[in-house]
Amino acid sequence: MADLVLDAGALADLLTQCFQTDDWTKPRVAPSRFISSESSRQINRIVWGHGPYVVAASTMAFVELVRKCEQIVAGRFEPYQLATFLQDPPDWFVVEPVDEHLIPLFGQVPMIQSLEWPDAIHVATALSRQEGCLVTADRVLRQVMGLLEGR
Amino acid sequence: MRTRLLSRDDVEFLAQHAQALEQEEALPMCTVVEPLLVADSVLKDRARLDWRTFRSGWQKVIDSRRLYVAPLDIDCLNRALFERSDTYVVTGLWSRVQEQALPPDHTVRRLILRPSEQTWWDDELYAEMESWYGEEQIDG
Repeated sequence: MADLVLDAGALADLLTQCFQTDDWTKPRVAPSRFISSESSRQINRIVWGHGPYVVAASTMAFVELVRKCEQIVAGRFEPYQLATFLQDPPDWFVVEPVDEHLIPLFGQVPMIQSLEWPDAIHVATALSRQEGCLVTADRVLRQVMGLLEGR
Repeated sequence: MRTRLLSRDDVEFLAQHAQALEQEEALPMCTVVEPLLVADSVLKDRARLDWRTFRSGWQKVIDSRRLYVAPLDIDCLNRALFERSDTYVVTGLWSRVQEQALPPDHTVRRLILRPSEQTWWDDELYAEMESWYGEEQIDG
């Protein structure tokens, strides 16, 4: 097991499933467009377990989610629901800041030319967790994570 | 004390000349986007300096405690991401962060610098940032 760091797509899918649940702080997460079967299983273990691991997302993932709201969110939840989540995230979820401490970790990301800096932040955020695994369906991000594992 | 907003070029300069901060008469401040963009260009060999030079120079800047690097954190999102009514009810997303024609770095700058009752800088700082970057568009 590890902490799971979500990119914007996976975050949108998780939030959607949260807000479709009676108690949005305790979703049963199913596989979806951006969350694989294995990732959904691991997320549920974190949500319903009492272990040391958390689900996390960078503040940048929230920014991307809002910038591409029509494509990523596609009306699946409302701004007030997002505000509710951010005002008081569940105890299994951490919103990671983008701050000066991320700069050194940014330098550890295998910087292939096609990797955009907002995506590199997700990788650096995963590196910032002691044991962090990035949940993403993005081809470039998966390639970068593969390069990291190969080191 | 007057605040001076630093650009990406300023940050790149400081990473090579951290001692220049000692000459500042205003309080220098930048958003976290500026060092991130410099780091990105350094790592992709698009800058004049290499990673080791940037990394050590930037650390000197941070260690001097003379520069405020404004973060993108959860407080910032709660403060700036939404439009709210007078009774603090969320009425929607702030339209200025939904402009997809703008590059993401500018969206982040807007979120960080959006003035509110909770920020200690004034509207002029935000206006200055918009005058620098507001016309930038995503290529293509």
